[in-house]
Amino acid sequence: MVKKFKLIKLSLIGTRKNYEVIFKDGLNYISGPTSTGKTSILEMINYALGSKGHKDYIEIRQSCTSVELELLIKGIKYKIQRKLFDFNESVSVFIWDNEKSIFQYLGKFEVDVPSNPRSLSAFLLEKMDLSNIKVANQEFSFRDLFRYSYLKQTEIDNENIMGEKHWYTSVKRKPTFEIIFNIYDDLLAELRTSLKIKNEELKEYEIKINGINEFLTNTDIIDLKTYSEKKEKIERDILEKQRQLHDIKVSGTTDDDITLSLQKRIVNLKNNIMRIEKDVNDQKQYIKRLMLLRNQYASEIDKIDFIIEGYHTFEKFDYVMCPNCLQPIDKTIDLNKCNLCGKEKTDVAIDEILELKHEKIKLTKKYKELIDFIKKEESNLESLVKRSSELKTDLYNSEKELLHLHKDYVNPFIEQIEQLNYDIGELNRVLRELENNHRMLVELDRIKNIYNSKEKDIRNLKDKIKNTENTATNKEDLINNLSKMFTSILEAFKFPKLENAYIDEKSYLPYVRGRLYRELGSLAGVTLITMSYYLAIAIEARWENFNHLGLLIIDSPRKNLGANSTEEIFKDEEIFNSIIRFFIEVDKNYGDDIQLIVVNNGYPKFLDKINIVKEFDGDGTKGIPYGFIDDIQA
Amino acid sequence: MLLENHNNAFISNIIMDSIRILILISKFEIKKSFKLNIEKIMLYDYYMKFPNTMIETNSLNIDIKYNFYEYYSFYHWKPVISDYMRILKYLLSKDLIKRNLDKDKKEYYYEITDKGQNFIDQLSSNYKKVLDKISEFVKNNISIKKDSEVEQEILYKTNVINRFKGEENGEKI
Repeated sequence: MVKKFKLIKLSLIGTRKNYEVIFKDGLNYISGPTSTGKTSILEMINYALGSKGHKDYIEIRQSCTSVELELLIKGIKYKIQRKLFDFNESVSVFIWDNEKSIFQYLGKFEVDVPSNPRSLSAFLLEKMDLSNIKVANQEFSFRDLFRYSYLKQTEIDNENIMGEKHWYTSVKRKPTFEIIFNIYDDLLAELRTSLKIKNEELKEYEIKINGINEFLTNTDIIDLKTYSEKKEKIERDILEKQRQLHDIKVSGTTDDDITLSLQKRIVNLKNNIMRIEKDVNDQKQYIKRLMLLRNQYASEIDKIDFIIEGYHTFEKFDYVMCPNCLQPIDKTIDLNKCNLCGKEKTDVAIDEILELKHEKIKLTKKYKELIDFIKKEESNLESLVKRSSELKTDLYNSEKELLHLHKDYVNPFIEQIEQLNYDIGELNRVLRELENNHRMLVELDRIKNIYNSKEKDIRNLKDKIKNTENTATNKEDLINNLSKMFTSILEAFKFPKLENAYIDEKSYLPYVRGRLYRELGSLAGVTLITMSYYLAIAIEARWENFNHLGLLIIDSPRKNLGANSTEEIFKDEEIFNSIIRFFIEVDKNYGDDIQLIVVNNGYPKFLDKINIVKEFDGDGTKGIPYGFIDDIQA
Repeated sequence: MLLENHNNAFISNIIMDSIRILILISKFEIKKSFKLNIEKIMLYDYYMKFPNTMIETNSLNIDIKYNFYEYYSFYHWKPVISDYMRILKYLLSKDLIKRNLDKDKKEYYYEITDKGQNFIDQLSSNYKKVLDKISEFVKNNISIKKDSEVEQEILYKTNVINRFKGEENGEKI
């Protein structure tokens, strides 16, 4: 038989480490003194299953960030993850993927009333095939169902089972009882309505899946495997192209022979041009100096002309005064005598004038020769300039050729580099696109999971409707059986002066000694009755067609009992021992159907250690953890 | 070379220097405000001797080329006053110029005589024409300056560095 609801593992996700409790079928006994975290374990289960909040445990606040509860609902494994101390934050739910052996993210759910389809309560009820049921004009909630599975320490003896005393707290108690036992009048109608709604929801998901599928088909990606293959290939391609690019950049130089010789030629040409340019400049300077000399000759020839002309003119003008003392000179009549000294005139200057005339002839000759020479030097200059110009043309052509060669040899590399860069960019783009598609695939997977899950829900719901139709429960028989079970449990508990114990067919509340449980005036009695009541319901509703979770959590069954009891008749330790013995019985007889989690301070020696899932000693002296959070330094 | 020995009393030198100075003197008339003394003659004669150095000869439209003589013109400053005295005495002895004494300044100033003008008129060589143009330029542009300014200009233009800024036929040398 498939377990309806079974806890597998509770983990507090810590900053230093995680703190875990692993649950098994049947009895799970957690033992430890006060303030070791026993009750907090239960409270964390409750919190993971959607309670409004949790107490502010100092150790947990210091060490933990979130709680994770792994559980089985109708054979399917889920993980509920909820942040601690952040009561309004959504709860994440994961579903176990058997093929991959991992939890797959299913979605976020709010801690809200079940009318919100995105609430955790709606999710859990859906998995229990109890969606969309209205009780007493209110939404039937998972929390209503869970009340029959969680007997808190504070409620075990509060004489107010499930708030039955007050109308506003008990309005859903009775319908829940009826739902658990399939005696709720409107259950079938409600289930059929639920089936209708579920089918519509399923259709919606189908449309979503088809949409995403179509999109993914268009993008050439059918599944995650194809995605992985494509991604790997692209990543390989990118690496290969990057390697090629690197190789080209490292080794791609133009060390071609032609280029090299051309480069040498250009260097030679440049050197030659430099030399010739220098020669040209030297030649120009040389010619300039020759010109100066030529000018010198010309100007001297002019000056000789000037002097000869002046000499003859001076001859015409006689001295009137002594050039030395500037005294007037007596004029002699004899023109053949010097009018300064009176002696016979001898032309002393005539030799010099002749010499000047010779000089002029010489200079004129030289001048002509120089002009010829300059012409020759000028033609030398011209040929130098011409040679220089030729070399420059050669250089220009060589440089052009080199440029052309470079163009020929470099371009393929540039094109290759450009092509590679483009390819890498393109591949990266494809990769990004692929990653986007991957997100779509993941989302598709998630929706598929929800779809499959819903499909299964619908099948289950159909079965349930069939079962409910076929197995109409007789309420009288049910109450009778329940009363018998209740009585037998109390007997097993060795309830003092036990008589006339039953479950009332109208209020569904327990009666002992013919009186309502809370009218007995004994807290210890109430503890035993309350436990028996919860246990009786769990045992009687263990069948698959009933809707009890098959989970019962009892906190502190010893409360008001044993040595500390204020009531004499309950001081007997044997009462507590008999309770534990009954728990062992439950484990033995109903362990497959009922998971019983019991928290208590201490246990009798006869309790098999196999049933003790956690044990704390409060101070760590007995070789076991001192508490649930066991690594806080004192 | 002949002209390198121009300070010697060769006849050719006397002829060259005296006619050049005569042409220079011929341009100036005696005025109250301007009197051509030996100091001015020496300053202006520098322009006459080294026109390419001192004047933008291209603007004068004269056929006188830059030559070695000018190239080394900076060697020639400053002139020797006794040489000039001898030349002026020579021109005076032939009655080509005359001198007058400025009693205030106690110095002579010079002007050309009719005979001197007659002498110049008889000359027709190339160089004479060049000198004519230069002396005209000196009269119009240089004589209007103070003697100290003119001397500064000579010193500035014969400066070695600036000498190379001189141009010949528009080409840098």
